[in-house]
Amino acid sequence: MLQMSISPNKKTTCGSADPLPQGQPGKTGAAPLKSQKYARGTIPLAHEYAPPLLLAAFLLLLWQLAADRIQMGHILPGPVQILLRTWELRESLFFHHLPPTLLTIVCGWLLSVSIGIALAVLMHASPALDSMLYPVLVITQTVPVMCISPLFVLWLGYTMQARLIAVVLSTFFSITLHTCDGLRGTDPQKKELLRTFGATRLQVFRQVEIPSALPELFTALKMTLPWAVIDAAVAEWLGANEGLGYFSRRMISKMDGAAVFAPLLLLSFLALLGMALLQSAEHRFITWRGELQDSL
Amino acid sequence: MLELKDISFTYPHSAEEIFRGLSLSIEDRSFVSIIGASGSGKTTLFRLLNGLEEPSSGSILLDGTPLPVRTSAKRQSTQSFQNKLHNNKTENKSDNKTGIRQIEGGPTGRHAQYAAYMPQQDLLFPWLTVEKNVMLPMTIQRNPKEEGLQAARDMLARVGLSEWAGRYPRELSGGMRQRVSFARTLCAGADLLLLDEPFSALDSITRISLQEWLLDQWNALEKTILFITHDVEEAIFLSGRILVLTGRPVTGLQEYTVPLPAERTRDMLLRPEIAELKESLISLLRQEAEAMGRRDKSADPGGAL
Repeated sequence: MLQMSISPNKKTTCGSADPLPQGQPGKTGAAPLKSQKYARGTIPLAHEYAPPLLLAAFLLLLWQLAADRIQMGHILPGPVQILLRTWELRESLFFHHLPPTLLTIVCGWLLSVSIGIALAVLMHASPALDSMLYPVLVITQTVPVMCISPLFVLWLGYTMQARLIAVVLSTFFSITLHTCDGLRGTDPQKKELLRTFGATRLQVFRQVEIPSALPELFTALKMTLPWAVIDAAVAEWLGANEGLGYFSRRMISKMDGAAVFAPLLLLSFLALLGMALLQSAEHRFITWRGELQDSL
Repeated sequence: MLELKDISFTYPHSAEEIFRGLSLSIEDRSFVSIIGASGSGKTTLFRLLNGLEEPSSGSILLDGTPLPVRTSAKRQSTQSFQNKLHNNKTENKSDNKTGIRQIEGGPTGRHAQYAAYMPQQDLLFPWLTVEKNVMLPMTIQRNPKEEGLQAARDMLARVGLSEWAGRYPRELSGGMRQRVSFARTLCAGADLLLLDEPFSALDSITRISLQEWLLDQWNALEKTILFITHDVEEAIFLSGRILVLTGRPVTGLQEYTVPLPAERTRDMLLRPEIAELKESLISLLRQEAEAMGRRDKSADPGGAL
């Protein structure tokens, strides 16, 4: 009879390296099912990280060899030169240019996350708002941030606000979209079950929809964090008088190749660090990603 | 005593009538199974009983009073909240023909206080521990946390899963998950349990042991159980009375009484009168399925909505 439509969205978990349910190695004990394979979880490090590290080392080596052969450090510095230059410039990089960039990234991204989630909740709560907002949001995404950023600089000068706008503009939409999808993808049977217990709409939202949307939200967080890093740097390129992006551009005009790369090294490191933090938070808190679709 | 009087029902946006003038009554503390071919309206009947749908006409009476009836002071807060919402929306319309309130966001389980629903799939929330899952109905009804936790622990002890209270559902086997789901259903505090094919997804050995387990539970509890199944043998083994939904729309029920005592064992199923009952049920269901097939074939395929 009316068997509720079985989860309409067959989601493929994009961007996540391991979409399978994560058993908790320590806690399973005598559990009758699943997660036995995590017994080997004691030495995963060498196993998992060795291949990518080997590849990276190999590529770096190639790069170094090529740079040594070409012998034009101002255009193609090798990894060793870059590291040396980073060390030479450490005072200026770490204490003068890193803080404003870091601030832009963190503030911009957090702002974007709050705006993105708020919009998603509003759009989920009201179909009228959804149909009103969605096309407008899509339009904001068709504008290349890089081209419109100079305009923000015209309005606001060489300020952090101008750069924050650029970061928010480039990241909030993915967060809205994923969060909204997550909220909508909630198993309708679970919602109905709560209704039979007498749940109000707010209770349904809190008890099922939010937990169901969290994995999607984390996907969005992992996607947008590197964008925030990139766009903060781009915004600094386009109009700033401090920051890693600004520093990198200035070094280009000085034809100092290694010094162009030095701030980029820091930026990549920041992005990787952020991703690692997010990944471990997800591992720790969101253990049910794989179980959301296991209804028959 | 739960009575359905002259119930008719059609889903909104659908032309097909499901029930027409259906009446039935369920005595307190009985175990009644409902069987019928798939698509015969079993699940719809449950949706009407737990308030997810309301009948187009007719009434559902609990001890002679139309629903909803509030039996417990505990739900006062929920009730007043619903009243508030309701009063804001529609002033003084509580005596509409079914006497049922509607609040924003579709029908809610207004009948939660008298009926508790156990779905076919366990629908345990993977982000909650077993005991938090069990206490969910009490959380929803805004009971104090301590009270809910205590009730959940009592229920888990009843279903024999106390030591799993702090674990997560993924660590449990299918049969254990259904027992947790049953405990959660009990935690809603209702006298009428609506069980919708709860064992159909389990392997046959687990199913058999859970059937015996459920029978013990029912004998120990003072509850009325309405049990949907498509398994004739399961219906006979568990219930005192079997109702078969026939026709489309369903206008009436074929009713069978199972000639077995409440305390029963599986070998009683081998008695000749039981075999006879089983045969007549199967042939009735077969006729129904064939009639339904004929109806579907004769329906204009292009005319479907």
